[in-house]
Amino acid sequence: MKPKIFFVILLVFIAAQTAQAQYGGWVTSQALIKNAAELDGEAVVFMGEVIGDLMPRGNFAWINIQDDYGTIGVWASLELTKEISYFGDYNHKGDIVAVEGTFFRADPELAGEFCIRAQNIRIVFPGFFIFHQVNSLKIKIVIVLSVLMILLGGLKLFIFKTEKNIPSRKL
Amino acid sequence: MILRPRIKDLKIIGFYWGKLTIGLSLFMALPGILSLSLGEIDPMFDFIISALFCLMMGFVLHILCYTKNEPKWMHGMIIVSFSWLVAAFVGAVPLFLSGHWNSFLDAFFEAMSGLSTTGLVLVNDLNHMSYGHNLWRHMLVFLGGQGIVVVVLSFFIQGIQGAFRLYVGEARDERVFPNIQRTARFIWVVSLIYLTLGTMMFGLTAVKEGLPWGDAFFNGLCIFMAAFDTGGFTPYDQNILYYHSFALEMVTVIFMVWGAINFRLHYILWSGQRKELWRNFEIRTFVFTNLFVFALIALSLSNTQVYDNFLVVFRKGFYHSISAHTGTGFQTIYPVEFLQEWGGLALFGIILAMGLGGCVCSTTGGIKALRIGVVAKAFYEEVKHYVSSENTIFVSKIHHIKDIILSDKQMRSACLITIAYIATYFLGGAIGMIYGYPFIDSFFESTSATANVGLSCGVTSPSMPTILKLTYILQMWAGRLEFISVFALIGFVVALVKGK
Repeated sequence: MKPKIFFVILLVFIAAQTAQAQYGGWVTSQALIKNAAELDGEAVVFMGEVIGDLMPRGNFAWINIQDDYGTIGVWASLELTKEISYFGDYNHKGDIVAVEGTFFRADPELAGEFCIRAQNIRIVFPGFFIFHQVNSLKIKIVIVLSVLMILLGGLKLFIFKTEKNIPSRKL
Repeated sequence: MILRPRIKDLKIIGFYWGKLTIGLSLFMALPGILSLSLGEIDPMFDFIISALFCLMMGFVLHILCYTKNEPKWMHGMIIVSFSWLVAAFVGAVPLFLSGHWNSFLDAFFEAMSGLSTTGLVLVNDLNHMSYGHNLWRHMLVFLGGQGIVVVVLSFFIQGIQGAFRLYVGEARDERVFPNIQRTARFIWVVSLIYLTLGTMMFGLTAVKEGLPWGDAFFNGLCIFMAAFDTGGFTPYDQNILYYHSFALEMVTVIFMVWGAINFRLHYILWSGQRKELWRNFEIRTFVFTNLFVFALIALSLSNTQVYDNFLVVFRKGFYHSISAHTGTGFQTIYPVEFLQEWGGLALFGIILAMGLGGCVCSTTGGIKALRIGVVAKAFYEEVKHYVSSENTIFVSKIHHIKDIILSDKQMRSACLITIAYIATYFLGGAIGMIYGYPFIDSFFESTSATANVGLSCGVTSPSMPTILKLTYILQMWAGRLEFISVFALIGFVVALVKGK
């Protein structure tokens, strides 16, 4: 495992333990989905990586937060989302945030959305740009396949020309 | 006496496989170019490797099996049924190289799920996948939805009489034009026009709902391909729930319904005969069963009181009713919610909708509305026969593009395919139960796989047993090809072993 990734995982683990100790209502996405009826309307703390895009709707916005088990939608005021700098995608590890808010399994004011209405969002660990190194084995495979392809192409051309020169040949 | 296939037969089959793999390699250029333009260099190499691998495979088959013989019915069926396995195999190569799947089998499962327009997924960390790989996943749905053989027919096979045999093997038996290649091209032209309009429609709505322009249109392209081809893939692991938008959900409902309609009916509508939409027997059956299923779901959701107003019941219930019935598999709830929150009647409704499917000659799976209507008509006629005098002669008539008098053969064929689907739903369910899943979970997932729907109640995951993964792969494949080609393939293998 690359040292940087290991370091991030370690930090996230420490942050999770700190958040768990600090907030009584710390939950995972799995717990929210499996115990939706019991947790409906309860104050919770949910922690994870912000992924995708910020989707502003008026003075509020939707963000999606992913933990180890799944992804949960969070409805927050635009003001609360200002601190978020990195949204997770192929090129980025998103900010790890702790969301304090109220959980709804079908929010009546948001046309039945399964979500957390955020009262506070805190950056636990900032995101970063992911540098993807090209796998050298893949480059070698491409070279080998290209050479084989050229040889095959030549063979095909040779057969095609031979076929043309022998029109009476039965196939 | 069973005749053993000769070298000549194997050559015809191999020759057309070669064409297919060469065709697929060309399609891999698109995600490769996208990766390059976005600076995703490592994913770009995945597509170069896969394209070269396909080209090599295609050229080898082309050289070894070169023939000018036309495929007969048997060849057409074998070419099609094997081609789908070959396409899933080569389609899985770039997916596996991305590192988002635990094993090649998982990548093969995903590729088959895409090609068969099912939408069940085994991907890990989808939210961090490259644009190139995500586009390829959705392109698999689009290519599979149009029919891989239709793709080959449109671009690589010129003026052969055997084309219709390949076309039929792919579970399409209605011609829009007398010429099968014109039909194939019509399907492509119409699909590309819809693709452009659909991407614009979703993209603009997504911009209005707060997505940045670039992502809005990329999502639009992917979601349209997955919705119109009733596939059910999305670029994020929350599926359609990611967008938190009623407006976008309604846009996808339009795509799903549009994709579930018979392609021949699309042509009729394009030529201005809009009344056909209301007169068509299959559309009437489809609307009736949809309303029936939604009524079941709404009743169940009202009883369980999981949602406290009708708007939410409509938003969730109607959406999943359409998603299941069209065989798309888009979800706006988490998989376990089906089991935990929705109640038995709603689950029954969803399974029923998945099992029934959309219209024939469309991209949907399942039994299909025309067959359901014909079987219902056959039952009705049978009952009428018992209560009428012996000398009465009944004529069963339906209006499907034109007035059709139903023959016993047509009714028997509809009943046979219906029985084959139902048997496969139960067979897959039984295998799930062997591995310890409860009846309802395994039956739900088995129906979803066979009917190429893609809704999941949580059984499908990277950690599920290998045998169950293989079972679902076979179900998706057989369901997409409506069994006939698969039966032909079994016959071919038997002939290879026991033939003289």
